[in-house]
Amino acid sequence: MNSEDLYRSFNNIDDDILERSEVSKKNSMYTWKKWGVIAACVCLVVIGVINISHKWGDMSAPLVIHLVNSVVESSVGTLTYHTDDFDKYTMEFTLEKKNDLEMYVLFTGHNILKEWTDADGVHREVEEYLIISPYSDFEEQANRTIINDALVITVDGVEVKELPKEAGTYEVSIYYGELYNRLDVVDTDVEILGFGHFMINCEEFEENHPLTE
Amino acid sequence: MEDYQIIELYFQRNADAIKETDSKYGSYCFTIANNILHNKEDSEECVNDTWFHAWNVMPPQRPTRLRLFLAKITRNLSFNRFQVQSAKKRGGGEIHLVLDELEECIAHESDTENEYMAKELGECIRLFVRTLPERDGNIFIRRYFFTEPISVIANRYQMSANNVMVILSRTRKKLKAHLEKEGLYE
Repeated sequence: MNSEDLYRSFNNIDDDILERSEVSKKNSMYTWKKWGVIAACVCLVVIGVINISHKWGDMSAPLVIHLVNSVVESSVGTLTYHTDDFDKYTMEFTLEKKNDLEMYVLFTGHNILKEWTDADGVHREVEEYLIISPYSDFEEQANRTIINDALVITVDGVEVKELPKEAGTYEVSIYYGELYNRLDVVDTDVEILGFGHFMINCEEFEENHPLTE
Repeated sequence: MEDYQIIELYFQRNADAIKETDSKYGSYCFTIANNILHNKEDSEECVNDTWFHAWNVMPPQRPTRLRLFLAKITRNLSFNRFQVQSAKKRGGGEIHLVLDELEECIAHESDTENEYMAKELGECIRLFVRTLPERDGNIFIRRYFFTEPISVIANRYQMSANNVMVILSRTRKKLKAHLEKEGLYE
């Protein structure tokens, strides 16, 4: 078999599947329950502000995160972005230290692989992301912990969920390069700024940090 | 004109069938051919060959989806032409990128003259695409059936190009695993 045989074999795909692909459409709206952050109605554009602080090795300069797509506002340590689909969202940004491009990171996908409530009554989820950087292309799991249950509210007849402040924490481990460096991004705070707005404070920890254990 | 009316013209052996097909699907088939051949004149010839081929097979064949029926003919004819041209000179275009990407899914090149193997592979791909989530399947098809550039796919589904590339990469890995499982990874 060669790639040409493989290419030709795609002619066997059923017509209904081919037809389905011809319809242009946006990603479907996400499931609030799964994402569990904040809520919106169908036409809502969600705007978030992410404040970044960092603690990574001996680096002391501010960590700058540039969001590649959908940038509304960007400044040192702070960025604003919007998305209308958190369930299947993509977050792209470059990390910059001391004005040197450090790495490019892309988070995409959002599959919840496992959900459970632990002995302390804390809801936990294991989610699958695809994360790429210039060094490698790999998949990694993110462990997200929801501390509090979402508050269910009704807006214009649409049932949505809104999380209170300090509602969630998730830890994302990124392994890249042969050096096997590890960067953990931890959401420590989710602050509701208004309907459809939120703020996430992130911290990065180097390997072996207690929070990354 | 509706598809069933065009098909009826073929069955009546009415030459207007080709005119109506060209009017309705000429541009659509040209895009498919041009994605593969990357050449206006060659693509136009392939589209004309498509009408000729359709004329020869209808009747007896009566397609349920005329557009996709024509798409498959155009794709086949264009790829045949590409292979002939490729033997002479390797040019540019999306098709080379697509074939390079598909290289990832096979262990090494071998001759698949065996018709049975080709049929098995086709059935394997057909079933594999059905197992994919809708979004991933659609993107995979736009790339490897319709040979669409990444930017076009991203625009179609209103996603970033990077996101499309990541989904394609992940799906190729799944395909490789699927081919291995089915004993077709050689």
